[in-house]
Amino acid sequence: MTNKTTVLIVEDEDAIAHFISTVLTANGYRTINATNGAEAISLISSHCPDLILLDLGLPDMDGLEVLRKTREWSGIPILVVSARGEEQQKVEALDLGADDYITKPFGSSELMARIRAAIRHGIKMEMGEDLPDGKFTRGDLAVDFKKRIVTVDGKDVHLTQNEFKIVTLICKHVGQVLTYSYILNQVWGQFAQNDRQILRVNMANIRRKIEKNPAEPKYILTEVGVGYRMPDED
Amino acid sequence: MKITRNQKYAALSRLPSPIRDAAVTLVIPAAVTGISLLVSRWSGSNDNIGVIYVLAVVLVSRFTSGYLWGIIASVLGVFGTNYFFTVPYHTLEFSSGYSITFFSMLVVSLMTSTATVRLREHARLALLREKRTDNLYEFSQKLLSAGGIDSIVSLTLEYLFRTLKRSVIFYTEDPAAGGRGTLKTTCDRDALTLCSMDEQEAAHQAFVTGVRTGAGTKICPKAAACYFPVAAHGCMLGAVGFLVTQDGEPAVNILTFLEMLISQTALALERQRLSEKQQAAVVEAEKEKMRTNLLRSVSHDLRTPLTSIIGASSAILENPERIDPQTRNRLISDIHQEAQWLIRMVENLLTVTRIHSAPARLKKQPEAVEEIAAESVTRLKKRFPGAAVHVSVPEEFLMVPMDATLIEQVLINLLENAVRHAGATQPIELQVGVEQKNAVFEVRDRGKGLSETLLPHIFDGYPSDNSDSTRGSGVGLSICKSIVRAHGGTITAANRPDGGAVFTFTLPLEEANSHDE
Repeated sequence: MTNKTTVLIVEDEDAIAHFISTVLTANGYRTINATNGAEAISLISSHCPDLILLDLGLPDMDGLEVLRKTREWSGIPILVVSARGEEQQKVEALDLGADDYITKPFGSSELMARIRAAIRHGIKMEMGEDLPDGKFTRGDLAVDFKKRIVTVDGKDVHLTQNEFKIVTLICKHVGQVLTYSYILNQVWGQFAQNDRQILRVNMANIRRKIEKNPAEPKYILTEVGVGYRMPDED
Repeated sequence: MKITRNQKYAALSRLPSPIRDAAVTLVIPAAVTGISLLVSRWSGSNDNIGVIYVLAVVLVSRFTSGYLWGIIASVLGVFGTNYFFTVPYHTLEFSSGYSITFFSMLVVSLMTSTATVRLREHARLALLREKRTDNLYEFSQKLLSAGGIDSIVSLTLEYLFRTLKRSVIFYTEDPAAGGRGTLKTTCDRDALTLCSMDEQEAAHQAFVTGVRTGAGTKICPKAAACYFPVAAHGCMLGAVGFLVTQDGEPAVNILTFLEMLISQTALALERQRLSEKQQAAVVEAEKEKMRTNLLRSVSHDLRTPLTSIIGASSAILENPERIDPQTRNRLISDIHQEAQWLIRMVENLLTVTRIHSAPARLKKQPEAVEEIAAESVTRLKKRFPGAAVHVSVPEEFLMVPMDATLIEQVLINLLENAVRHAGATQPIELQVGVEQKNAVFEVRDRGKGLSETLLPHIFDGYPSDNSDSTRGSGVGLSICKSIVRAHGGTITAANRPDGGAVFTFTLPLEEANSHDE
């Protein structure tokens, strides 16, 4: 018997919990279910799952509360499940330490991709491992972190200091969404918190340099109202 | 009772020029004495003298006001007759007969005075009443043409002020319930007085009790102003107050006039409120009709996919062995598609409720147009992996204030319609540009175009033909329209001259529109 990855599903709707656990079991994961926040918190501390799928709308408490309590002592990857139109809640969850989010309704392939990315990210964090030999490639895009060079289709792309910082930040979190405030914090420091405009302008410039058509980006996708994401391998 | 009190007030308040009356009282007897002297000289007889003096008394009473002057004239007459026309001449000599002469002259003077005074008083009152009636008539005429409660209030204040010449205040709502009075004052100090807590309490009492309150009444007598309730058919519509100054309360007839004015105002207010209520009812009915229409078209749209889902799933559940895997997969993918359609419908409906419940609370933020366009296309491709969309955005970076999720919804609705209904083989084009002060979004296809009969009503939300092939697009487009309009933009649909349809919507580049807070 192999040691299966354990996923805790925190979801109060039986049908959805059933669907998720069916998909996960079929893909070789072990699942535990919690239907409310209190149960989730006790299961997290007793079972130490490898990943938590957390629905934000719970009957007994705010899902964000479960997130906050868990993050007090653990870095377990947490994937937040929320409905469309709750962008503010997503941003809040991400800023509280959620690794990623998935919007209802979702298909099984999308769910599996997100779970894989979150677990990979979790392992990477644990091993303290960065990208192998300081290079990142995706399609035609190549980023060399040591030489600080970005190339598209083999051609050098001239990026400014901040543009380069943004690109590397996003490359290091492939598959994960990064909120505006997280990027602003990492690139400009904590005093630039509210100036999203500057980030948007930089992003527009980056896209004009690395994307073939900035209106149909391949490398850096916008999650409207939340942040940016480099899509996982497709 | 009323009339005598009126007269008393009139006599007190009017006090006509006494000098004129004194002159009349002196001149007429003097003139009569002169005439009498002439008559007596000419005829040698003093028989008519008494009668002439009676005439003098009558004249004095007629041309002066009050009784006093008539009595003085009587006395003067008696003295004059006695002094000039009785033996011994030029001396005052009273014998028994003169008391009778004096008495009868006095009675004549008193009776004449009473009669004339009453007559004049009547005339004065009639004049006053006529003026008031005119005033009242004019007032009610103006009230009739007054539109809105505000103009009724200001008109009433104007007339009250004109009548009373004091500071007045009008409450259309109970001050205890937060109603604020409208003022017309003679000086700023009055405004402060009338807005004090005591005054508000008195006005509140007028609302509650429905009788006069404040100064000069038993309820809140300490208030500086006197408050009249404005009521019609037992329904409190407001309260009117006027400052009771050192001069004391206004005369009773003025109070009566006030009551008439106020009852006119009450009627006008009631009429106004009724018409407003009626208007609100009409608007509400219109809304209700829209809601029902939307509900009907939505329900119709929801039933079809649900039927298909129930049919397909029960087919799989009930015949597990008899269906080959291929058929089963097709049934499942049908269920999947219909369910996806349902969730988009529900998302659209949620958007509608969001806009309709609070159009002023759009969360507008400057967003990069290219990001919105890109995300819309990405999400469209998730649903329709085969869809080909050509996106072009302006070369320069363009930020437009908008509620990103809503505009995304508009773009997705338009793109999805193009994918589902146009039936084109060529890619759909999504183009964003700038025209004057607007960002212009265009979704173009090379499909079969829009039917000319549908075109004028395409955004109304009710597809004219109820065929299932157009399901959802009507509601989707009406939602697009609501969203774009809530942003202060416009949306249009047209057929391209060389085939296909084009949907265009604009968003203002500047935050100048009124919808944003």
